[in-house]
Amino acid sequence: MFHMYLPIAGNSVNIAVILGLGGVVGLLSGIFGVGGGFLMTPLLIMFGIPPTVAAASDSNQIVGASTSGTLAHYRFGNVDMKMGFLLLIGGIGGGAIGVQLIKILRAMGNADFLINITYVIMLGGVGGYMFVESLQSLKKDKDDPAAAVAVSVEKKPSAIGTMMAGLPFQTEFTKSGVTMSALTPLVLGAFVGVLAAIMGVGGGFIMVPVMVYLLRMPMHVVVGTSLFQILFTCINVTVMQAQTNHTVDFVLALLLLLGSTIGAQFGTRISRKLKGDQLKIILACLVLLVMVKMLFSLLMEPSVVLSYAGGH
Amino acid sequence: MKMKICMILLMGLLMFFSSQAMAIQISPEQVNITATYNGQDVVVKGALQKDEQAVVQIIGNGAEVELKQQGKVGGFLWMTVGHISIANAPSAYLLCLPESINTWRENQDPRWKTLNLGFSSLLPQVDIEPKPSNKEEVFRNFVELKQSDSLYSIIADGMQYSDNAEGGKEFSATIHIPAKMPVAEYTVKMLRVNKDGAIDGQETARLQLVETGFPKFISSMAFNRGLLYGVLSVGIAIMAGLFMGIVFKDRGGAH
Repeated sequence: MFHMYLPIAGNSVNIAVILGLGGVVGLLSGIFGVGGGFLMTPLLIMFGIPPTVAAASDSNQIVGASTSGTLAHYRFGNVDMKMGFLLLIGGIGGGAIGVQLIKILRAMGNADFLINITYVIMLGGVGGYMFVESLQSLKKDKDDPAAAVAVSVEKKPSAIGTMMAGLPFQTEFTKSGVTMSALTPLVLGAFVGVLAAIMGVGGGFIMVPVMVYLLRMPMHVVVGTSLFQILFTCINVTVMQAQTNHTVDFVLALLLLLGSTIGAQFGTRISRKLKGDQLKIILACLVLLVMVKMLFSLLMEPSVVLSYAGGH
Repeated sequence: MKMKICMILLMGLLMFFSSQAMAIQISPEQVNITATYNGQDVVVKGALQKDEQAVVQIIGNGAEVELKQQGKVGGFLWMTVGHISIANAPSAYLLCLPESINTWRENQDPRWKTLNLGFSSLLPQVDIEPKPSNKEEVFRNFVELKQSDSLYSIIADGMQYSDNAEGGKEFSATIHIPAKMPVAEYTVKMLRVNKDGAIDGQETARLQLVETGFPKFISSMAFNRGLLYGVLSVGIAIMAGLFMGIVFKDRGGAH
């Protein structure tokens, strides 16, 4: 068995296992436009990597995987740069607010409770809504495809949509085929940034539904743009973690990268072959699965009631 | 009087040479952590009197550890309910027992209690803050955590004996150093136990765990030049991503 020692994690890992993990998460990243941190980090912890090192090294590998994925999506014309940059700026601002918020919560002593509850509610809410909505849409497609197309074309703008149309700085986002105020992606990006900082994840799995349901972007552009935005978020996180906490294990990241960059390329091609609703329903299942796992860990007695401080 | 002095001197010399013969040998004395390191077996050898048994311990330092404590909230939710710090508990505790002494341990023989070995023997030296109402229970949880990392373990099948030319016997204890054992200096302690369960003597030696080669280079970069390390990590990740993108493009798609 080939093992590799991870100097920052302070443990050795089986190379094949880590390559495989990277491959699977990279595949999901390419298909759905999520960074995969919400899946990868718990899996790495399961394989004996300290939580803080798992999260920081994962964000380093996401840089590689999302570069590969963004490039592939860019070639297919699926990246809305303008939208991506606005979401990114909002996300960075929101992330800074979220970090301060978590500091206050930790000082109050109930941060972990809030983190866990936020996780379950967000995952359950987002996953459940996406699942039901996509299922209804798929059913309509199956019953009467023409009507489904007509309905989707003539979809009435919601109350929120009407309010958004009245906002200043109206901008046309050509790639996404939508026109809206530049403030909308900025504010939504900030909202996801706050949640991502509280939950300690990149936020891709919240950003994707936000783009689909609130920004009304087509699913394929959502995936490419999300990856583009995740790329910059993770560059920032990796450099900050390496400088401040020394928790980036480059050897681990490189092993994950080898698997995930290949996985991301396959994922992008699978994504092209699936319909938007099919993509949404699979992602919804994935999100709900993580929520169930999270809920399970909250309800079941842990095998060891002590854990090393430093991550959540 | 002269006779008495001679006798004492002779006994002293005998004891000196006897203790020299008892000195333990560790192989290797230094465990090098290389790129493909996955833990390593360390062999501790030495000589004993015919009726003695050897017990070997590898003990880490007692640096303070910060821990999160999980408990039930609202009667059904398991989550972090507090933080504790544990000081003076060894970072690692590997205990290698011969079969006979392990039987004493399993049967809770009074001789085992006299030896004052095992995880419970560490409890009096351990400080837990804030002071728990049940120190034993918290320490038991701590041992479980360490055992899950293989850093606290009792090895019951690693001791071997062979007769030597001087009418005594040689022991050889094989102890596996887990991959997760931190880079540090460890104390190797060998106890000579007689058949009544009393300790006839003890020898100590040092075992070093050091990073070499690539792991040493990465650790040194990460801890001494964090910013450069972070920027390089990001740069290499981007290059790898771009490279894979180009490779797949040239192949005209994977499938």
